[in-house]
Amino acid sequence: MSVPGIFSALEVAGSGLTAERGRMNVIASNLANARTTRTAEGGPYKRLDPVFEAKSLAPNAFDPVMRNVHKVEIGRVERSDEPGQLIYDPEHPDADEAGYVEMPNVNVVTEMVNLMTASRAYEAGVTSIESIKSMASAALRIGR
Amino acid sequence: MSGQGIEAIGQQLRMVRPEDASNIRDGFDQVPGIDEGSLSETEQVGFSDALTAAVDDAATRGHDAHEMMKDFAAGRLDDLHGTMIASEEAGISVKLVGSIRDKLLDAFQELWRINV
Amino acid sequence: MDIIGTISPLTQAMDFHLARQNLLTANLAHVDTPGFRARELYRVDGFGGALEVAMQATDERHIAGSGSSAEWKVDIDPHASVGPNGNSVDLDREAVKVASNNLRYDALSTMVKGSLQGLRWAAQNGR
Repeated sequence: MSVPGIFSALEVAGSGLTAERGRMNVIASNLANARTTRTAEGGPYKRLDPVFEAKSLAPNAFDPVMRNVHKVEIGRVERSDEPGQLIYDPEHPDADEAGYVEMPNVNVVTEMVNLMTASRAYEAGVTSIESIKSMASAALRIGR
Repeated sequence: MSGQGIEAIGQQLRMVRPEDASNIRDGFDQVPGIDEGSLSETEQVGFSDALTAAVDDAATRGHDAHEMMKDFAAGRLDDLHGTMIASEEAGISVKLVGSIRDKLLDAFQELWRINV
Repeated sequence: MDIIGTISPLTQAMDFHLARQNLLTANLAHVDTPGFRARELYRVDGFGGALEVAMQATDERHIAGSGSSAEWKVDIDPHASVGPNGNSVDLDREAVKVASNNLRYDALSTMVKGSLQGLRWAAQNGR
């Protein structure tokens, strides 16, 4: 792909959809484990945060537009090591000597807001693809 | 401009009729059989003027329409439906001039047949 | 009546809007990327003037509509305000730009189609 055209635009839009879906998966994992006090490594579940990165479509292209158009990727998924809330519950199987249980550092409200943002961004990506398809159809109609 | 332009073009198209061939003076020097004296001054001059005016008008409309399309393409103009109508006008103008030319040729051939 | 002279500016404008669509799509895809600045595609007007003169000299490359990006410029959008994490993409603003850019491209393609039909008619109806 050497020119900014329909297919490069579709690739960029597609990358947005994939990234947002990846984020929604991470959020789903956080929400599902909001009360998991014991993981395989021991200790409570720690929140995961995806980090989005911009990657140029064609970093060495002659065309300045191709150099400046970036796909989006989830570069890495970070584990937050913030301490979670401590709940006093001596009966709990995971309670420490003082009777406190450390809960996961997942804030359900924050995760829901992130989910809505991701969902909105995903819809924006779908709108992008519809728009690109419309342009391609208009071009195809030239010959008809 | 847009909507009225198409109406005006239609008017002019109606004006160009093969029956008017016998009134043509310009360019048809030797036309025996037609008594020029029987035609009034206004009838003789009117048709060729109208013809020229129609072609000029169609050409101008076509040129204006193309300028409008170029302005839209360069981002200087935001008028969407005006430019789309101008695009159609440009096509119609081409066909109008062609149509006038065709009828003129038909008229000339008819006269030529009368001659021989 | 300059059909051929109109088609070239129309197709070059289509190239421009398609390239711009790429940038706007990328803006939308990066609504959540920290530190990402929204970009825009600008026409370099000085160049546009020079290009006009060259086309009247009937240079064949220009009639072909090479769509070279020599007359465009990618720049960070100065009107996009930067958010707390360095991201300057406003979802709604970019979505509106996507829609209007799409509209212009569609209008231009319809004009190209009309011009080509006019050319075809002229070619078939010469006497």
